[in-house]
Amino acid sequence: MDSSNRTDHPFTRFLLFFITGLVLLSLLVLAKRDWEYPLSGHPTFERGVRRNYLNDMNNLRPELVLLGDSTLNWGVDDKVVSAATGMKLHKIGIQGSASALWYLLIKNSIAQADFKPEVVAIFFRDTMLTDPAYRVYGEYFLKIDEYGNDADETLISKAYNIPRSLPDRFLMRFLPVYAERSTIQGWINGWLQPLLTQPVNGCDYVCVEYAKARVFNFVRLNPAVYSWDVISTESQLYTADKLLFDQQFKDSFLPDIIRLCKRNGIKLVLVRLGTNRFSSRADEPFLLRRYLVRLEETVKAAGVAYMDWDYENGISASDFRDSVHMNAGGREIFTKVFVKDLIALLETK
Amino acid sequence: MQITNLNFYLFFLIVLCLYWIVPRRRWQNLVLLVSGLLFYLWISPVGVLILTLTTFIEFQLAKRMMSAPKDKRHFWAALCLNILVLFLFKYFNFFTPAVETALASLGLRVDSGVIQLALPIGLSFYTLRRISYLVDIHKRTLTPSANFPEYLLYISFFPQLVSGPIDRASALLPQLQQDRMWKFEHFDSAWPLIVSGLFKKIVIADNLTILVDKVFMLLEPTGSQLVIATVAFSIQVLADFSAYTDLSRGLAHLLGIQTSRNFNNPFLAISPGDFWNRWHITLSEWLRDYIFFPLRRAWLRKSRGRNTLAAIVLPPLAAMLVSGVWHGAGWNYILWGAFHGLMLAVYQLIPSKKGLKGFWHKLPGWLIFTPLIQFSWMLFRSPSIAWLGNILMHSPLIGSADDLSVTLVLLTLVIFYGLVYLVKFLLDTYFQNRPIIQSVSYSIAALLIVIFLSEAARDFIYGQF
Repeated sequence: MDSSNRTDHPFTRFLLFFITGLVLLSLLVLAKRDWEYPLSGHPTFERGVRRNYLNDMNNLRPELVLLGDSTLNWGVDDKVVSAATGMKLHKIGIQGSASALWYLLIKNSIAQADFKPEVVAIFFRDTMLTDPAYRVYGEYFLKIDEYGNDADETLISKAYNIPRSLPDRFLMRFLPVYAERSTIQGWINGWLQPLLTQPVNGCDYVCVEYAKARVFNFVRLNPAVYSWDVISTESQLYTADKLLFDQQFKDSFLPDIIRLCKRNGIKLVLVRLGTNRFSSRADEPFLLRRYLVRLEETVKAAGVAYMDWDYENGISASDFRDSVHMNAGGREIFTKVFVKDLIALLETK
Repeated sequence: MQITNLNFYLFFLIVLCLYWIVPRRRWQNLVLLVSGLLFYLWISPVGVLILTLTTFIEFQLAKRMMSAPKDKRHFWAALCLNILVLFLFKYFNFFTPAVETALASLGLRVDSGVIQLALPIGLSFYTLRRISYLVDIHKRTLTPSANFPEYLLYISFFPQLVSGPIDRASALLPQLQQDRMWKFEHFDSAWPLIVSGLFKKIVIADNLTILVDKVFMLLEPTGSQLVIATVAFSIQVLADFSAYTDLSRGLAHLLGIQTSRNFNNPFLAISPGDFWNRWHITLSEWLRDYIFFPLRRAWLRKSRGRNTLAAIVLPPLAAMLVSGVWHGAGWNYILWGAFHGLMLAVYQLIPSKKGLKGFWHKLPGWLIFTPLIQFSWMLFRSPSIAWLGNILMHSPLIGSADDLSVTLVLLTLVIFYGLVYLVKFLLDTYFQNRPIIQSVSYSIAALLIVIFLSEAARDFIYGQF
């Protein structure tokens, strides 16, 4: 085969066009990143901390902060807790948040406030606290990007570098198009999605994003279908490796959260929320129970209060709206249980 | 491990090198068998046990079918084994509430958590392959394999394990029994299929699924959202499933093995018969050969050769009901199958001109059939029939300004990704001999694959059936 035949080969031609496109796009990306090469190997936090609760913390001066995802919003009535404990309370329940975001909130907002709260209670499910890469990619990255910045080395290392596979880490460092694909996807979506909305009802990209958030708001979703979606998404919390507490703890955000709270004189309380996956302790898989026992032992040894889900608390499957969120009935019962345990904890302090 | 993620391709590269380095067919088959079982072990540890054990039993029964041809017990035992295992894993959970209620009425409380069974990935696909193997041996059109590892390799051939195509033993086994030498043509035919498969899955299907899933998760989408999300779903499911077929065929080509084409522009179908000749072709051929034809022949024998209404209606209805049940345990699948069966029967009853050619002759048929096929996708994708009925009867068509914006975004995506399909069709039809245009289109597709590669690969829709 002579050289002209080789360049005429369809695959060679494809490769030539592909590499040319890759190089051109890479140059565009590198120009945007001030010609830094090789790249840092993790997603870039472009705008620094854009949203923080520091002002809220300084203005409200709460004594008690409740931190969690949407299950906190549905599971705890903050007014009842505040009235029963007599403490000024601030509830931060961010839909789709997990340990990476909670760590950022404690580090960048709570620990930075002029007035430090007396107690921070984190509401979590099963292995969420020791899975640093849970809810940090895709749409969740946009949230992390709002609260984090490039100086958060712990965040980058634990959420993005350690859990990545070898080929992924290689491409993130040496292939700019791959490393910046979220940004390019954003460009494409920003162009594509308002193509019809802009001329028809004058809705631009930002307006479309708000419209989607309102239409697909959690309360408009079908609980039965949503439950399956949650179960399928959360199945990654129950893989064999995630249930090995001692292996997961060191590389998780939990030691950092404990250290930050200790350093700032904040009493940390970890509250495990139940799901309607299991109806009794005997239902819990052996590996999960072993994980939870190790979690309790470890955090208690570090001086952290731990409240496990009590299956005898009177909350049944009918008190859940879907697989993880409680309904009004569940919320009423759980709030009472939480208040009772919290008061007991504060009294023994 | 998904066949769209980087780890899989590292795994496949190692397998490929080993496969072509080892000298003989027997060793090549061993590499394929071991890597197939390792791949399956990775995605479904319990599945490997079930596959190996049931395949071994079936292999022994098939051998006995050959040695004692008049004794039909081995055939029925093997057939029942396959159907039983499929029903146990696929439909047990569907009947669990009824079983629990029945047990409760007897005073026995059984917790559903105790008796939930997870479907081993690929079971539905390899069960159909095994049934066709048994029936072909029973009909004397196939000689059973004398070599268990070879037969196990046919069943566990890893490019096809998760979602087909459902290649018959008569097509695949002879290839596994032949010597294979590396030729550059293997690569020539493989790479466009792999690029095309990755593009369809990562760029089209995974992007459409985000909004489609959300609309079907809503308590009350508007009528327009439902209709456009259904069209989007039809594009998504075609992209998703044909992506798996393309990848599976591409990987098989790299191993020097030819497998079946499963799709042929199903959006262009003008009748149900035409649709099933273009959509999931290996499944429709299976249904035709093992359900439709035997039933039709039996009915014609019964009616002494007269083409009665029952002989026209019942075979397609039965075949499509089996197709619906095969897709999953849910009333929507059963209704979807029944709807297709009825469409096939009705179209058979309507006299039509055969062999229509030309765009303008086909257009009326396409305009009538396309809404029908879209309605069938609505049945297929809806979370429940009650939900669908409620939306069709009571939901407003447009809704609020926000609803309108979401509908328009969905419409934009449908038009955009629909155009991508149109461009692909035009390129394949009119620019097949324009290599520059082909190369440019594949390189753009590859660039978009890199851009849309996701950290968390989404499952293939047909992987769950």
